[in-house]
Amino acid sequence: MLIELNGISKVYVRGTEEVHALRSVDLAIDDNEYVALMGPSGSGKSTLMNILGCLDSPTDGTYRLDGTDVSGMNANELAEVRNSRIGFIFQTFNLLPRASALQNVELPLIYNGQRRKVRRERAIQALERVGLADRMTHRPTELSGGQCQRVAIARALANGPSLLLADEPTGNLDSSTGEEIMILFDTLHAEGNTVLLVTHDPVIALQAERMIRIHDGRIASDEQLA
Amino acid sequence: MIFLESIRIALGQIWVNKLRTALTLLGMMIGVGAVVGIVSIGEGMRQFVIDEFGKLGGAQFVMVSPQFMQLKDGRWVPNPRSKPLTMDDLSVVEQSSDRLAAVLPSMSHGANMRYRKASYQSRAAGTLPEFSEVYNWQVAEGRFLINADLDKLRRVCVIGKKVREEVFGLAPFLGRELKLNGQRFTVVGLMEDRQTFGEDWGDQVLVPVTTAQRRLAGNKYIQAMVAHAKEQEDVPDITVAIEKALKKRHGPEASYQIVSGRSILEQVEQTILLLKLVVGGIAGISLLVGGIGIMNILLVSVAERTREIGIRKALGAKPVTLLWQFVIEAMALSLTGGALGVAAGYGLGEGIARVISHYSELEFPSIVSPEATLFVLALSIAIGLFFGIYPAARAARLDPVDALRSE
Repeated sequence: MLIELNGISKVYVRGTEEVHALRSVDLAIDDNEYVALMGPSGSGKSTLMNILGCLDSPTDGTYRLDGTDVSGMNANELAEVRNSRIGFIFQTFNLLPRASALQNVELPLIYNGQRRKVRRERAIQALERVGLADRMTHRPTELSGGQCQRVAIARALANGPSLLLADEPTGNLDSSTGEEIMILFDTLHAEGNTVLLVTHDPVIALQAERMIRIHDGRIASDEQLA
Repeated sequence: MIFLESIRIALGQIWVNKLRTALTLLGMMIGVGAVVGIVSIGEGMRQFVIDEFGKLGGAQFVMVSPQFMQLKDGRWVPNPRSKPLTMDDLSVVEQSSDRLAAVLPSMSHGANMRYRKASYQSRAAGTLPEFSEVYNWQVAEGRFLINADLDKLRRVCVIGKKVREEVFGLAPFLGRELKLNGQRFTVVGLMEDRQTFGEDWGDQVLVPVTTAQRRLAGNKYIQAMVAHAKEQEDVPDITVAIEKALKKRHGPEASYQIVSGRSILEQVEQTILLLKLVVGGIAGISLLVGGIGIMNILLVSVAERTREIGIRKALGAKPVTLLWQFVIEAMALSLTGGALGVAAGYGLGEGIARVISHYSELEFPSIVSPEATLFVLALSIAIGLFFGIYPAARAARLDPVDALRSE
């Protein structure tokens, strides 16, 4: 089992008010699954994604990633987990604007302590996988939205993560570019990657094999598609 | 690996924000520059004084002169207890300590110099054969004075370069008769070129002190004497010994003015130390201000780059890594400011030294020692570290989720 959530809760204190973003969520995701996570804004969807991505820690409950309990880890340990196990893909790409495509893809490899030569090789490989071998020296401002998202995907793949976590990856793209990106996700899934897609778009969500709906901090439904 | 990367990122940031960086560092640069400049002038002054004293035979001299005037009720009045010095006094002083290298009379007399139709008004100095060696002032042509000249009260003289130019021009001078105040003196030598503290030594003629007393002054006095110690450390002891010997000879009331080169040098050193303390205070303030500027710009930088920090955290940058990244950025900033300041200070010191040299016609150096440079640079890095820690800690503590959400 890749992901095991047991009784995960998250409570924020906003002013004097307690906000229960997640209420005792149990969830299991296996290797090489392709899961879509859906829910309206305020449903706790983002909180769940942040916890799954080890950007945030749960208030209560346990989270085992690849058999390791990460729920009690400190900031440094979580950084290591994010670096080696998780590949993030964001709606707004989140590339460093002044760095080239290659330098952007090299970032997680730098924080992994890889040597310069290894770094360069792996970054080039990752960019080749997403079909951007000819755009390596371009900066994000010189690339189209679709190309930027491909750079971000290459960056997510660079350290060979256990989980690809994509947050509305097509949200900032036109529909045909969005489709290309979704085809890329299909390919990555077919190659054995575990993909978790966070979206509010049912059409996009239908591309996954499994759909989980969140509502009011609880899992409202969990169904296998196709 | 990450460390090198941090340096690269820091330099990149400095380069991207060139104007902002320059303005931030300007204050620090001016402060450090002013300090380095002034200290280099102070050091130059010290070196200048030491060098000039070196030409005078080092700072190990003690000058003894009669105290003709004394300060009484705030006014200078004649001193009834003063006694003029003679060559016998000089012998007494010579015997007063075995750590004396030489004791020279100081006796200068206004002299009208004539040769054929040329005439020159300057001075004649009565002295001893040891003079040349003590002041390391050699003859360029002919010979210097010898003991026989003194014993036999010979009317011989050694002339300076200036005297030669004024009186003889290009004509031969060795063996010629120069008239000093109407008395005939045979020129036996020419001194080499020499200047100290901007003063030309070449406008005088040197004659045996005995001859000068008899023929020029018409008395048996000398104006002062200069005792040269073998070692500079002996100067205080020698000063005491001289005073004691003179009092023994002339009675306890006799008063003489005794000034040592060492005491002059100590005064200079003290002045420079004071200068350094004052300037050091200014340096401290300017570095403090510079450090606050760096802290400020780093806080702005952290705020501006919150999203970037979030991205880096999401990709696995640890808090400590980001802490280092910003601390290194602060140190790179302050080191740049310090280095530019040292360069500016070097230029400033050099410029001031040239202006002084130009207007005073002295060889005035400006000295920036490697130790001082290293100290300033190390201090700059320390400033960066100190003032960079807080902004860097803020960056390191940022919550990745919040940071990613910021615009």
